[in-house]
This record gives sequence, structure tokens and C-alpha cells, in this order.
Amino acid sequence: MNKMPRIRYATLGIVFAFIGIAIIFRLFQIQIGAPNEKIQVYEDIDGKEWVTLTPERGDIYDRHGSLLAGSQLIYEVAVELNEVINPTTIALVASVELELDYQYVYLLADQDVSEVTSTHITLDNFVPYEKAQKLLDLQNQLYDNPKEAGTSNDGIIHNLSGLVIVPRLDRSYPEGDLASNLIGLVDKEGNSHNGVEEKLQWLLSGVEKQEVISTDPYLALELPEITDGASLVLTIDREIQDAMEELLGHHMNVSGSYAGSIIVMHPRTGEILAMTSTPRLDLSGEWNVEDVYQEGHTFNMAIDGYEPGSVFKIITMAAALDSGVATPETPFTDTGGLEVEGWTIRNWNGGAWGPQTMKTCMENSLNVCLAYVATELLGQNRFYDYVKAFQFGQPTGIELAWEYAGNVRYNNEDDWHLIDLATNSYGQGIEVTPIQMLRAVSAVANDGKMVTPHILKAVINNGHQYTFEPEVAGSPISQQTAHTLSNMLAQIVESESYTDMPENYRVAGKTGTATIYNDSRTNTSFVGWGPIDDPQFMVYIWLNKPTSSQWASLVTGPIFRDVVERLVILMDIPPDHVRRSLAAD
Amino acid sequence: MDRVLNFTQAYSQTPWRKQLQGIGIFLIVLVVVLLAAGIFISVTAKTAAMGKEIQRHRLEIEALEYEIANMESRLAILTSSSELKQRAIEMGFRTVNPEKIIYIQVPGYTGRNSVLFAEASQPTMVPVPVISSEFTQSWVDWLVQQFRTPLIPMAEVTP
Repeated sequence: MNKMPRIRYATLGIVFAFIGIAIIFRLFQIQIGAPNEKIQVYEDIDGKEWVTLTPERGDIYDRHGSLLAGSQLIYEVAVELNEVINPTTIALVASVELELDYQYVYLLADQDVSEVTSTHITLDNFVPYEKAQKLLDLQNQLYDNPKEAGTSNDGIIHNLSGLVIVPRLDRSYPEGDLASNLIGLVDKEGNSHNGVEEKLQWLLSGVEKQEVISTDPYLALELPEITDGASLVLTIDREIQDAMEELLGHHMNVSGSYAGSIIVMHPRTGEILAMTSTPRLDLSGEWNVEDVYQEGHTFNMAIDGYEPGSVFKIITMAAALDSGVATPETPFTDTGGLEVEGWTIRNWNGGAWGPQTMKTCMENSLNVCLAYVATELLGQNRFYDYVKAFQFGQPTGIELAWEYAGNVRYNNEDDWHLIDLATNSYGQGIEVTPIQMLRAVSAVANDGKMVTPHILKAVINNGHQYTFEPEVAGSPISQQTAHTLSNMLAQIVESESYTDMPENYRVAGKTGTATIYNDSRTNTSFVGWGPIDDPQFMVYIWLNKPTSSQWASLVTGPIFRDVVERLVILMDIPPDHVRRSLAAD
Repeated sequence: MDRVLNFTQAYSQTPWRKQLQGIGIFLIVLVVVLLAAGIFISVTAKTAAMGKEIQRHRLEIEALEYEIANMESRLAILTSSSELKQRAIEMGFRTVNPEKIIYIQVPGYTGRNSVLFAEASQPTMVPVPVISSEFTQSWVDWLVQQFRTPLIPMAEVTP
């Protein structure tokens, strides 16, 4: 055998073998070896990016699943300078569809990439769904049929390359102004204000993350998971809420009131079925807080403080009955005035009402009588012990932002005087919130047990629904006292001319008229509940500065009647005799 | 001695045969390595393709979630309290008079219940593999698995 061919074959074999080994070595080096610097550089540039991962905000529903606050698609329209081919087309489309200035957009889109700090320029951050769809259709049309697009004046074919349309979710409120005072709102910058939105922001918002995301397909599964916000089910009943808002609006007009609030609560569970307050923002459209809320208005009056007036007499009488210093028949002679520290307490009409009992004192809402009960029968320590037991001065903890704690001057404080005891007994000189009043009076409606008002019924998170159980806030009075006082207050409603109640429903209630410091007008209130033997609803009404009359019996009394009429239908509550006969069956 | 030399000569190989054997062994090793490299590249290419697919699906999921949220809101607007009230009025409905309501007892009916969107129990974390292990394991993992997997499926030998 000739030696030369063998040497050539061997050389060729060695060369091929070397090339093969080199290829295999390189493949292994790229796939599983230590990262090459050059490869690493490409990965840093093209394989990774800083991304803000924004979780989807949780929805808010009413107790029956109607959406009160959800999310809607909204778009950011921007120019990506690196990709712009024809700035004229972009400027033209933006000026027609987004109503932006043509020249302004053209100058932005025509910038030299080397002269700008960012190649991403936002044109409009809040483009609605319909407009964005139009832009996307136009973009696709130009992409699919570039020949039919025509050219701009500079001879370049029309092209929307470089116009980026990025979807994102924005808050939406399908019910408009319904329950807006308790839902609160999320503004365009994503900040939550008031109501449930602000109070439970930590639950609704989820956790936003800033992460370096790898676009390497081998790391597709290593993308960080973000936790979306939890959805909330409120105790609110949309139909009852709507009815209360309609009634409040009507009576605001009739009474010429400056502002008003109605709360409906279940006295056994503390669930808020409706809570309305005026004025309200229509959250479905463009709004401006300054235009809606004038001086003296608050976002939600139901959690704002005021001097409640005679509705507070329920607390004074509850304390007197519970401590045993008085009974409904305890006599009192009203002389029309009571001297306390040089001040004279007078009745609402300034008159002397003569011989009375505790029952008629409540019926006639006599300030002098209740001041006597507080100063002479109860005494300061016992009175304020009950005020404390009813938890005045403490927020209820309802799931709404900016709940006011109220302001009670207790007898151990330096600036307290005996006159405070007298005025506090009929709800003046003490600041409480409507929701605190409801909590306190729930003890009278609910066999002596005071419930914690709450608006959050359930939280839906990670595919599970967590429902909250009712909480008892305390038992400031006995069951016997609660029943006695309930009957006294039911008789008040029966005896009043304003209470042309729906037939066969026995309800209890008390009016309250309070003077406003440095103002000739009043705050008028009403607290009531029913049916007496099986309470299903508690109602608190507050109208601020009515002009038709200064007296609650003429302003808030008729509202209570209308509220009861609507509630018994909406809550399927049969008349008392029907209910008893059905229960007996 | 001659017999030993003859025996050795009879069973010894010629040098060119030895070289061919060496080249053959080398080529076999080379083929095996190339085969392994080919499988490795094939698997990693599939992994990359699936990774891209996963990334695309993630984007699709996000877009669909956005779309669903948007649709829910639009549906809620169409069934909002004010819309339904308006439609009811247009259809001739009016507010009921309480005195005209007749109450009847329906056995078993407990009234309108609150909404239940999700399971009302304590959460239990059950990890469920979403993507087949073929797309997540490395080539070495796959080889190890092949060696460990019994030839006869367990179901056939277990009564």
C-alpha cells in the first residue's frame, strides 16, 4: 500500500475529527458551560428588562353579587421613536382620533433618537376602549395593505409603525353615583380616596412588584407570580341602597336641607344594608370634587360627627331604667326650667309641661326632664359610665376611611363642668356620629346586646371566600331594660301624628332636633327600628339645616315613615299578624 | 519456540487492521457523542420553542383577563340599578302597594341568600403540575429518569 494516500487520509481524518470535537465542545460550552462574556452582554441587553408588575385590583360587589366597582380597559397611546417610519401619519391619526395638536405630535414623533433621553413618548394615557380599538384597526389596515395607504406630502408611504397602543386596567364604577359615598374612589393616578377603596386598599390593591424579567425562553417558568387584589362583598343591598338614595334626594328637596344621610342596618348582625349621604359623586364620568362638595359638606356624613340632639335621650333613659333609678311611670313635674351652674335648661318650646312620667317625658322630648334624670337621679359617674359602656367617643371600626371617633368630654377631664352633664343628657355638647348612634341604640333593639356595624361581608382571595361573622360590641343594658325602652319608644311612634306608618307594622323610634353652634338652623335626626318583636331593620336619618321646618318631627319623621314603607317590601317583611301566623304554622 | 512464534503470527493482526480498529472505535465514539449532542440539541430546541409558546400564552392570558374584566364592567353598566329601573318603567312596571301584597309560605325557601363567588372553606394548597415534565427537565434529568423507570409499568405487576 502506498504511504502517501494513507497519510492524506489520516490527516483528513484528524482535521475532520478536530472540527467535530471543536463543534461539540463549543455547543456544550454555549449550552451548559460558563457564560461567555459576549453572550452575557447580549443577554443583558436583549434578554432582560425591568418591568413593573401591576396586579389587577379586586372588585367590589353588593351582598347579592352586583358589581359596584370593577375594572375597565383603558389604553396608553405612545410613540416609540426607534420604530417610527412616517411621523406625518402618526401626527395625522393622533390629531383626528385623539384630538391632539398635529404640529405638537409631529415634532414629538420626528425627533432624532440620539437627542432624546427616552425613546418612549406618551401621547395620551387615558384613551378609552372604543377609540383605542379604532386606532388598532387603522394600524392593522395600514400594515395589511401598505400599497393602498397612499403617501404623505413628503412622499413616504403612510405607516403607523412606531405608534404603540398599550392596554391596562383602570377603575370603573358601573353604578355611577350609587353608594359612591361608601365605596370611595380611585383617581386616575391610581390613588384611593375615602370609603372602602381607601380603608381596604391593602386588600384590594394586591402587591405591585418591580422585577427583572428574562425573555429567555428557557426561563419562561421563572417569571414571578404576582398576587392580584382580593375582591370584596359588601353587606350593602343595591336595591335598598337605591331606594334610600331616591328617598333622601326627594326629602332633601322637600325640606330644603343642606345635606343628609340615611343608614339602614340589620340590628341582629350589624350588617349595613344601605348607607347614603349627600352630596354624591358620579364616579362613572368625569368629576371634580371641588364642584360637588361645597363648604361644610363631607364625603360621608354617616361617619361624621355632630351634636345629635334628642335621639341621645334614648341613652339617658336606658341608663336610668337599667340602673333602676327610674321606671316608665316615675313621676316628674316639669316647671319649664332647671338651674345648673347658673345656666337654665329649657324645653324645646320653652314651656312648662307640668306633671309627667318618664314615658311622657320621652314622648314630649322634654329637655328639662332628661337633664333632671341625668343630674339628680343618675349622677355624673353613673351617667358617664353608661356613655362609656355605649362606647361613645370610640370609632365603631366600620370598614370606611376617615371614620370620626366623636368627642365626649368625660367628668374626669379638666374642662368638664356640671352643665355638660345636663346638656349631654339631651344630646347637646356631645359629638357623635350616626353610625355610633346606631351601634349604641342597637342594644335597645337587640335584647341589650350592642352589635358592631360592619360593611364588609366577605373577602374573595385565591379562590376562597371568607365570610365575616357578626360581632357583639358589648351589653351595656339588660334584656329587660331593652324591652321596656323599646315599648316606650314604640308608643312614641304610635302617638305621633307624623307616623302614618304602614298598617300592621309596630316600630319604635325617636326624633332629635339639635341647635347648631353659631347658626340659627338645626340638625334633625331620627333613629328607629322594627318590627319590635323581631327587629329586621334599624334606620338612622340625619338632615342638616332643613329650611321647611326646624323640627325633626316634621322633617325626619315623615322620612322614617317612607323608609319603613319601602323596607318592608324590599326585605319581604310581612305585616306583624301575617308574620306571627306564618311562624305559628 | 518456533511453534510459539507461529502461533503468535497466526493470531496477530496486521498493522493496518489495528489502525482500522482504532479508527472504527473512534468513529463509534464520535457517532455516539454526535447522537447525544443531536438529542441534546433537539430537546433544548423543543424546550426553547415551548418556552416561547408559554410566553405567548402568558400574554394571551393577560389580554384575556383584561378583556374579561372589561366585559364584566360593561355588563354591570347594562344591568345597573338605574338602567334596570328605566327599563322596568318603560315596560310598564310600577311600585307595588304594600296592602296588595299577599304573603305565602313556601316550604324550604329561606329567602334571597347572599352571593357565594368561591368555595367557602379554608384554603388548602395542592400543587398541580401544569406543564409536562418533558418540557422542564434537563437532558441529564431525562436520562436518569429513563434508567430509573421500570420496564414493566407498576400497574401491571401490582394486583
